[in-house]
Amino acid sequence: MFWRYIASALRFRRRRLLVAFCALAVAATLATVLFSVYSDIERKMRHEFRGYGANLIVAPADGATTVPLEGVAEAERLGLVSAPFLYTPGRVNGENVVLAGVDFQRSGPLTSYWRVAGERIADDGECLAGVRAAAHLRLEPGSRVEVEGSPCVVRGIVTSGGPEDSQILLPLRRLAESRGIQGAASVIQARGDGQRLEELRDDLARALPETEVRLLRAVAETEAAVALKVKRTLFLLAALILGITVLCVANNFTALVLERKREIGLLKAIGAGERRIAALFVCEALMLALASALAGYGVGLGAAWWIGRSVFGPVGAVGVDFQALFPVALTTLAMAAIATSLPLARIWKIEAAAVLRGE
Amino acid sequence: MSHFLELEDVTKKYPGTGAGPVMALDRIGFTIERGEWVAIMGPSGSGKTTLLNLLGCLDQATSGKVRIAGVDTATLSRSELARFRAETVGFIFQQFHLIPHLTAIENVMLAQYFHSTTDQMEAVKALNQVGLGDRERHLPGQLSGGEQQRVAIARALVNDPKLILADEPTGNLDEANAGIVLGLLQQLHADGRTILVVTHDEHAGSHAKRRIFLEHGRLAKTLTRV
Repeated sequence: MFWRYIASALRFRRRRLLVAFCALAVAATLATVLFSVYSDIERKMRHEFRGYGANLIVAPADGATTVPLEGVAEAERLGLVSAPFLYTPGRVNGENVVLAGVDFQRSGPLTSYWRVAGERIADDGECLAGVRAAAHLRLEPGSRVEVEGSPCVVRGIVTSGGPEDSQILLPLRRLAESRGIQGAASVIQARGDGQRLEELRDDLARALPETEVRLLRAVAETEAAVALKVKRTLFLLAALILGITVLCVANNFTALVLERKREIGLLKAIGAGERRIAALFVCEALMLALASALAGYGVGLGAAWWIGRSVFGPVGAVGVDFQALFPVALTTLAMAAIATSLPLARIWKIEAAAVLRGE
Repeated sequence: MSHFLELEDVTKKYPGTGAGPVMALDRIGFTIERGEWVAIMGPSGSGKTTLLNLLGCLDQATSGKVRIAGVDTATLSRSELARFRAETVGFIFQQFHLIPHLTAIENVMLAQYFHSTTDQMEAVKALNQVGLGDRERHLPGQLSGGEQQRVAIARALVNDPKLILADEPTGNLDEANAGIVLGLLQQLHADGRTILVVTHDEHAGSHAKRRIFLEHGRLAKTLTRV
């Protein structure tokens, strides 16, 4: 009888309950998006932060001028993205310029923040020019220059906001050969998981004892701070919206209790205690919340996927978390329970004699 | 020997709206024996419904004693009163007060649910007793006023209560349906139940063996049919 009563009450007032259903479904949608995005946001942001360059650097130690290229393989073994860079002064079209030897294949993930007009990769007989160097030497993509007496075609103009803007960038192998350097680079830039950075630095330092492995603290700390701020903002916004939803649902349920005061009076008259009546109303609210949670969960999965695509692009959309159903249902049920608790107090205050008289 | 129902100097006051409390019942006292059919009569505002609510344990007296089947209702807690209502009293209201989203049989079974356990066969039997065996799946909105009142009677009798309290049971019915309802009450009385009907309708009151008249919250007179 208990469940028959609840089912028929929900069916009978389905239009009246639509507002509460929608409010709870919105909350469930939000909770789904939140749980999906929240659980995935760090991974996604780490992916995004890769575009902001290295967070570890392997530099020469104790008066040395180069680091061994084996450091790249060591870094990759530890799961780091890494690339060697070789810096040397040189002459381009008779002007003194810093030449940078770059492994363009490996450095791609670490230099995705560079804006390049033209090609991003230079082969033998080709080079890229930093934007300031290009302005000084009047270079543009397709220009021909003499680098250390050898001809070279400029394939692209690089804007990085860093020292690269003043450099001429050549394939690492070519620059190393021209300088007679074998198996070494000026530095190795690397990028690792922001959460394990200290640990990775220590591992790399142990593997390369003749080098100095430094943490680019500003980058690492900014990553952590941004991730924390984004998570905190998401959490506070969600809490605010869930709070408003609770108020909306509480208002709806209060109106329903008042609307059903004669029914409550009648239940009392035929022998129902207040607790049993309250149990009926709570179960009604929880059933409604469960339906809302399922509807909201479905919509939320779609919304999380769409938000991921809109914010992070189609390549790395935020993952849809199917395990979010349980916490979403729990959140929605808790909200319904909180929203019902205030109107429930009215059940004890309703005087059966008065309401059955029509007062 | 104790009476089935006993009122002793019962007074009920309601908070007023400025001119002091309203005296709904003023030192009322009478007794009712088991199996009696009594009508409480009087004009509007005489205190009839207030008296019914006290006897149905829906309200408490300001002073005096109300004893039903030997139990002083003032000594019962809220939950005990609810239990007492479920086990002892069957209500019939002027406005029927059926649950609109439950079918006729579910309305009857709801009373069983709050009493003990539901028994569909018993509920069907109660509906058959009021002549609505073929309407058990109908919602109250699909029934006429007379049929709704008969469902309410089935609900009142399904738990076999010792006392049936009816508040203007024919007040919202036409003559034909009023006759059916009074006939059903007669049947319940013949089965040995104690019936107390509150009414201002002379015809409805005339079925009772004893008529207690109230005026301004006081006992005005008692007439007994010989």
